[in-house]
Amino acid sequence: MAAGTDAREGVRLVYRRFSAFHRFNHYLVMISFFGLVLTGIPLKFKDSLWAEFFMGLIGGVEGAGFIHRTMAVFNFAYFFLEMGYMAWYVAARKGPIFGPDSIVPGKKDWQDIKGMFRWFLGRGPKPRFNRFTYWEKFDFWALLAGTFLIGGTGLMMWFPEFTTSFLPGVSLNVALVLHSNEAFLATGVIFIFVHFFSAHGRPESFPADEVIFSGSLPLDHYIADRPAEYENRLRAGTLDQVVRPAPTGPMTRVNSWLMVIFSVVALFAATYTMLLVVWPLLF
Amino acid sequence: MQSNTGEKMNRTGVGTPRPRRRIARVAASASFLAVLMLGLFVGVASAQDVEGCLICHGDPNFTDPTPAEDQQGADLSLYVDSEQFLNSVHNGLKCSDCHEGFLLTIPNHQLDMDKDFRQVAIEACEGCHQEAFQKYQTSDHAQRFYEDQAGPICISCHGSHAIRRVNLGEESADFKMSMARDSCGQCHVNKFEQASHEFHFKALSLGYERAATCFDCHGFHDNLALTSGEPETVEACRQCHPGANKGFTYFQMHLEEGFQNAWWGVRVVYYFFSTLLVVVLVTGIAYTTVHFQKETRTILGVFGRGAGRLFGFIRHLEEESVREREGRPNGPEDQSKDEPEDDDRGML
Repeated sequence: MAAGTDAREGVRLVYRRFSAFHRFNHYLVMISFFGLVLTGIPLKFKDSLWAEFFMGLIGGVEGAGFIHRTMAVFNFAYFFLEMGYMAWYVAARKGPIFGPDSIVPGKKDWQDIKGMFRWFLGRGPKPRFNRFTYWEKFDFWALLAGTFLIGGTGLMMWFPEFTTSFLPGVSLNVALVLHSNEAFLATGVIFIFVHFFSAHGRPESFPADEVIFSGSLPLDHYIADRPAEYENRLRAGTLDQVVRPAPTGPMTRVNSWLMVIFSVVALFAATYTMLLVVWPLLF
Repeated sequence: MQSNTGEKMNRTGVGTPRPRRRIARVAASASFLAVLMLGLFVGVASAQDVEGCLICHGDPNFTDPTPAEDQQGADLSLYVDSEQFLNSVHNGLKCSDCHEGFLLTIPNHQLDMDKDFRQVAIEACEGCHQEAFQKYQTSDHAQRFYEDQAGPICISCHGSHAIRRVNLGEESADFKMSMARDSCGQCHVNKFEQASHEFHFKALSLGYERAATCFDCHGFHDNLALTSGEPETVEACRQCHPGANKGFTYFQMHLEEGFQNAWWGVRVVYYFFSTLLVVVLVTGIAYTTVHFQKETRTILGVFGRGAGRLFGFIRHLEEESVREREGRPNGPEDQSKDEPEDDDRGML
């Protein structure tokens, strides 16, 4: 089945990239991240003019603490859901662990990085990407490691008496340093510079990449974005596993609205973080 | 002030001397004193100053007439701000309620001139605050004071005439922070700085009144020096953390900015993650900038060609798959092999 055929019949085709499970998980990630960052950053940058103002808005230290811990529970939820999914994926042999469609980094990603830098310098073509680009894989694994570290140390500090019943008290000092530093890394770098850029800032994605909200991508966008995957599927004849007519119905409008709402929230979160972090550096 | 003869008087009540009016002068002085007493009762500055102390001590420029000097080498100010006193917790008391054993003689008021005035001060507080006094006697502060007059006394931390009213157990975060900064932190400067890097002071500075300040752990007047692992430290922590045990007290509360006085593991983690943060941040910003500008320029620059090339690529793939099915790997119409695919080589 070639893309052209169905196009001549007048049906809009889309490439289904994310299942409902992944989209749900992403909502959990988004909501918990916003909540954790909004309540955690004022504590780290307590001397900033904005810190006390925002703390007041969210119910003071106690209110912020409550929200932070609730969001942390959401965080653990998506973490274990994703771990469960990956375990099931491997156990049920849904697909290869290493391979062109896998989220696990491989040799091609390294070649893609080199190719991209050549393209930046005008010395080569833009690399043709498989299902996940190298920056998406970085995003995923960095988040995974970060959640593990930040969540772990957060739990230690949430239950200090329990933690110190089997670990030395100074481990809480280590936990504070790690949590504070790593969370800032996750926010400032991954949140803002890697993910926000690729999902919001890139010209193709601006103002927000709809694929994580609707689950699908118009076929021509997909072909331009992931040409290697398209070509592989075309050759293997597996394109109809992922290509289907564009969904119609009320959910499309719901998804669009959710995308708008979350984009606005994202903009606010980015501004908020910048105010609290950059402001004291400049003034 | 005026005498009944209508002349302006100075402080000693002596007006323009009129040689034959000696009686008038005495009468003027007496009436001045009477007016003074009346004025005091009416209360210009303070309703409590029935003893007349504020005549001298209410003057902002009033300094100790003896050679005594304060730490900066200036004359000791003996000014008492009666406004402050009115707003303080001791509002309603007379001067002599605390300043016992003073005579209304000028200049040196103290009855027992051999006693250190600070010891006199402590005993003045003891009069009403026996429990605090007893606790203070057991503290390191008292020991330092009695040994070489170097330790703090009551008024060192509380102030003297402007002591604030506070309900124990309901202190505000601001009050706790000000006590830490203005009382304890005046001498224990390092400890105050170091404490501000950990949980409790962070929460306090953001307005959380239940967070512990210096005296919540170290006691008000017994001023304990707490060491990790000691039973009294566990007791101090357990006031807010009921499940605390010995291990809990090894959390280091007073840390230097770069964790110099902490366990080495804290520094390792700190340096590693700070480096990681800087490296990733710099790389991330640099990469994002380069990628973003390239994408933008590509899209803007190859608008028409980009679309055409896209469809050309699709067409090329379709033709290739059709040829493979039909067993014709390379056809004459396949010219796109000579064209580089999706290439904007040369477009910097």
